[in-house]
Amino acid sequence: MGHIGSSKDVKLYDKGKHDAMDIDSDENFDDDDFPSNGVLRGLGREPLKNFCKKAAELFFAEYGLISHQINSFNQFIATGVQSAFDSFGDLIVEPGYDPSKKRDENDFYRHAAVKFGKVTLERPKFYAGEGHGDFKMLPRHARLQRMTYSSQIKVEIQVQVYVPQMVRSDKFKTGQEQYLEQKTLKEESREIIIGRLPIMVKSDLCWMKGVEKGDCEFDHGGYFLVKGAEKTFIAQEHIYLRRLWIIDNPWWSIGYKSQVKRHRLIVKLVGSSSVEGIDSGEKVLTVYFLGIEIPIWVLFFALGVSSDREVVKLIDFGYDDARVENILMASIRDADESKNYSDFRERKNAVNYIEKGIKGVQFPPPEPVEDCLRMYIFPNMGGLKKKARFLAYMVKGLLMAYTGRRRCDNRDDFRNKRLELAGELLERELKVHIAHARKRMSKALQRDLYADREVRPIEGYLDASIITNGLQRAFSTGAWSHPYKRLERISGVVATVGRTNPLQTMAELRRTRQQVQYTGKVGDARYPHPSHWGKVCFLSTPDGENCGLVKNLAVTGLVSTNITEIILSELLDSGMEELLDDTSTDLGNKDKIFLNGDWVGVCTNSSAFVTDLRSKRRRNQLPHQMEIKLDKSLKEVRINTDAGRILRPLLVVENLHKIKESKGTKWEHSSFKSLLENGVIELVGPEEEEDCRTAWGIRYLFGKDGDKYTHCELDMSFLLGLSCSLIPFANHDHARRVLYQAQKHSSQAIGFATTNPNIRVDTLSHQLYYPQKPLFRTMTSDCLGKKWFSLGNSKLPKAEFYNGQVAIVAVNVHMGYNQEDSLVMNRASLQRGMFRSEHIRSYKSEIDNTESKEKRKDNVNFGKIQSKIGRVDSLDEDGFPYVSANLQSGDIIIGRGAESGADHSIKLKHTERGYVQKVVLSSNDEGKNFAVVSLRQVRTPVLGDKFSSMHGQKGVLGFLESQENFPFTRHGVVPDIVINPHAFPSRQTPGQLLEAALGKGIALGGSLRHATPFSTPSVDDIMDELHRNGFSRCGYERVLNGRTGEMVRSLIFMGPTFYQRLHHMSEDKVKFRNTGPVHPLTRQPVADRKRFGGIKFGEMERDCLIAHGASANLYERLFTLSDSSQIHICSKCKNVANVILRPVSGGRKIRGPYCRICESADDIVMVNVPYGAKLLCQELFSMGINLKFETNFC
Amino acid sequence: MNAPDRYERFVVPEGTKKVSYERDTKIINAASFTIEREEHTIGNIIRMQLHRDENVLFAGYKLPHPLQYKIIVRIHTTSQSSPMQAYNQAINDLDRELDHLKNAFEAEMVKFSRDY
Repeated sequence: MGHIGSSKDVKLYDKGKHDAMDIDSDENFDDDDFPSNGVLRGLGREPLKNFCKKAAELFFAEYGLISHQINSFNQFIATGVQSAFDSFGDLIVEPGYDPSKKRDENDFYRHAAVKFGKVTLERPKFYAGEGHGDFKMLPRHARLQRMTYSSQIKVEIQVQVYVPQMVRSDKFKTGQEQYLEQKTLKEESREIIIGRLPIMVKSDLCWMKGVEKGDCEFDHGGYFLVKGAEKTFIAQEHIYLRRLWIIDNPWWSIGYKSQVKRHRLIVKLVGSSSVEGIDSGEKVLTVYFLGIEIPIWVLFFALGVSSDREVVKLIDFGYDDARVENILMASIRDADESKNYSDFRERKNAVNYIEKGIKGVQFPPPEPVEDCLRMYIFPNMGGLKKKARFLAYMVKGLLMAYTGRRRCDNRDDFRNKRLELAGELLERELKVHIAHARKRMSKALQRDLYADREVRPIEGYLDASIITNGLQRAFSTGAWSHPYKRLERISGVVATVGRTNPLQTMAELRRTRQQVQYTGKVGDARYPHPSHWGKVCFLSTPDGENCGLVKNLAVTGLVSTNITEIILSELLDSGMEELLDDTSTDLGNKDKIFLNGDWVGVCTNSSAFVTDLRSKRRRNQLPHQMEIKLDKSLKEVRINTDAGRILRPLLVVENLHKIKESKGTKWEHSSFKSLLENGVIELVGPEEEEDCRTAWGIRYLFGKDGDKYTHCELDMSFLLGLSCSLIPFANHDHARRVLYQAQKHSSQAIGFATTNPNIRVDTLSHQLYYPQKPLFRTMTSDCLGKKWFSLGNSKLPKAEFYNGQVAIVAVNVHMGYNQEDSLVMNRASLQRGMFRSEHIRSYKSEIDNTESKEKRKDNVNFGKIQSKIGRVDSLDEDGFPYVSANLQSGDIIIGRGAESGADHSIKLKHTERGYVQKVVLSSNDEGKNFAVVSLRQVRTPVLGDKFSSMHGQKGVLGFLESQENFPFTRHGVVPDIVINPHAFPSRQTPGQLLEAALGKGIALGGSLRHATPFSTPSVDDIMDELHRNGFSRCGYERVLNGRTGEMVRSLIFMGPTFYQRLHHMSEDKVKFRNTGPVHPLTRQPVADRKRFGGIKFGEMERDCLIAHGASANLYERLFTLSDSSQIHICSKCKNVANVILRPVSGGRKIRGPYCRICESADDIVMVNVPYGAKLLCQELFSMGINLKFETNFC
Repeated sequence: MNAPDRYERFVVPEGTKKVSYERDTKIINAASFTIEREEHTIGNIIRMQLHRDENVLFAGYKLPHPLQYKIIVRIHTTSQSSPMQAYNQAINDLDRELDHLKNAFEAEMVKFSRDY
């Protein structure tokens, strides 16, 4: 049977080979097709290539692009919410002691204990008022009605009201003469609503998960809806705390880090200071914890080690090194000779010394010292002796680093980093608000514990709006709680989802960010690090202040979630011995095993152990996300199962033979899961990747050293980010230009943002009229295609990530109208609809719900009123314009008036106009009715609009030329766009030329179609393709002059190139005015474009005019046309003479300038000054500074 | 926004002549013709025709600005001719040539009309 099966395979592969030849036969690898790797024997290169592509498709079908966001949130609602509530213990509310009220010895006040129990989350619903009950709340409701898509958190709360009583007891039985007993007065356990939690769209709790027809084809969820705004989390990059951090600056130390301050412990190597002020050159070990620094030997003995010899044995340095011996000897002497620690070798004494120390700090821990040792030192290691062992391990690590046998840790290495996503961030924020609510509750409850008061049901004390509003505010303002600093908030955690095009949306959901305190402390964090490979894109990062700090996940990057299953037993099965809680046994040569930074055991043969674990993971007996690292130099195995590691799929070379066996017989690789379960592909984490020898693409497997590889990438372009791997020939372009496209232009390109514009009312949205997909294809765009995109045999690339149109681009000068990055476009093409786009702007207006009980005096209502501020011709009686009404700037768009007759209408700004697209009337959950009117505007490109190719070549439209004036080829082809050849030499973007040449080949029916970065077809292949079709090899064309009909002497490069229309348009930017509004204070023209302001004539412009000596112009610009004004000066005393009302003889009063110092109205002159100068003069006067003006006639 | 109307490119505004003639004040037998609402299509062809005239010493045209929809044809002739004469002759010759072209084309059309 197997034989028959395998013969079938051969056929299938032959077919595959044929298909693949169609797609790309681009690689002319010289070496033969027979792999040197034994495993690959019988697997051809083409079948393997097809398999990789299939696997990549399955990968994206399984995970999509935003699985990290959704998985993290799902884990939060599954376990995180509960653990957030569980992290708070019992809250015991003690009554306020009132000294005025006397009480007996045994008369205790009432106490209350409040405890959180099980947490349940419902699906999002909203309350529709009495009699209607609850309704399903869908994301579209929240979007349209500007509500928060959230669900109620219900918590079981146990309240116990009791009175502690002193009870006498039999000392013989209990050992105490009397003890406190709780006499329970009231006990209840109820489930109450504690607040509302915003729900991620398409998470487990969302109604849209798994529905057949979603709101939008392009919507993959992963964001929240808060007050109608779409908000998403930027993954926060921070350092991994569960690793021992070795640093050599400012001193040698090894740190056990934690977010909890009391868990931190640092072992330092410092110069001994036995003689004051003189450094003897000897280094001693000290340990810092709980705010005290003591000789490490004291802590060792406090943890129960019995002798110096045992300590040295525990440390087990393993090398003969005089420096280490000196340090150890010095450390012992340091502890011995110190008067503070006499007889510390007695455990009791050592503990006492520590107690004395920690009780003396500013905020000592409340627990007794034994508990402190147990709870605060290495809290995850049970048993004091285990802790001593761990401490010894830390010392060894420090000494190894000091003697140069181990390297210090690099904070920029990705193995030392974790990404915080929705789950971790929400848990943190939720805890802050629960704590707040608890504090408020205890205050309110305390008042009701007095004897004369009654304790009400718990709902009355726990205010649900604290958590609801707190979370909502955190989302709206973006101020998130700090990871460990209380009461501090950080920004840059939440972002509003951009909807310019689907690619932008997706790219934003895949963004990561590293928080830095200030720019000086960044170090090398901004530079790419080798560990970025395949995890984050090293090209797409913003330029400017966030350069290198904001990153984008690589296209196959996944983020691990916490593994909750307990894998310790599996580890024991594979040959691990558990770490004993003693200090006497010698571990000998056994290797240490760490699970998430905690020392859990040892094993004798670590490589066998690791191999066993890995093969178990590949057989689906251990979680796929588990990461196993064998550190041979340190002789330890580190296993990570925590959240926030970036994983990526890699082919396992030794299991590749399975794909051959699989066909028909054992398993079908129809899903990515089955590939994982069969170990053909595994998810590799940052640390484990160091153990792998990974081939960058299968071509290397067939190369010279093919058999040295253990893993292989699915495709060479998967080390790039999403927006980067879509760029054709990105490897041929200058990195900066790739960055421009990947980071800036791709997110500004107008595209087809959503397929549900009817159920959205964004304040501003754009849509391209005839979006096209490019001619070329890349691996990423191919693999992201959905099943239903396939037509016949060939699969079409997913179009939604490309936003633009294919234009015929000629590289030529055009009468100087494409100088300096401007471009000339064909007017006829534009009239046929090229780059035409639609822009919709929505105007929202709210009124109070009249049904609400309390009546206000002046009710505002929608309605057509005769407004004095603008035209109301297009309004219907209800106050809204009819659909398709043409509104011009200055018209009333929503009529709204108060009962008193006051006009509250909304008027269009002078820059806004358009046709009415739709009118939406609705109400939100705050009891307000609102109306939204959308205006549509269709824009064809005009001079000054911005365009860009996919290679960072942006330009503005400089001239619209008639079609007949363009050069044309003998086929009659006329370019749509003419760009200037000077755009290329200094910018180094031959990728665009290659794209045009390849596109020309594809348009002629060529079979070369792929332009995937790093596996692009060679120039020769592209040229051959053109030549086969009867074109010039280099893509040049002989053209005829459109104006004269004469042949142009030079050849012109022409080809179809993908161009994007960017959303910067001259119509939104044009700013002009002659006269207009002035600022009321300074009387200078205002600056705002919306308010018809002017253009600033600034300091540097002023310098220009001065340099030109154009003083008259300067005078006019800065004075006559700005804030020209007059004041009166008394020419005698040179003071300002104000205009006042003063009595003159005869009882009359006259108004006029009058000098109060000279007490006369004579000799007063009027001078021209800028109003600003007058203002300054007055302000100084008000401070008691008088300015005098010297005047002259002129 | 402030772009000129599209019809401005081909509708001669009221009160202006399609072609206006302006004599050069400094050179004898030189003049420029301003042709409203035309561009390279006419300008080039007239210029080429004028170049065939041996009495024309100079003939050229310019499109002053892409948003001013007119061309200026400048002609300088020998004393045997005048710019006006040369211009008229060029127009007439062109007219006949195009007529001929049209007739020849239509004759060929008829010849092969059955094939289509």
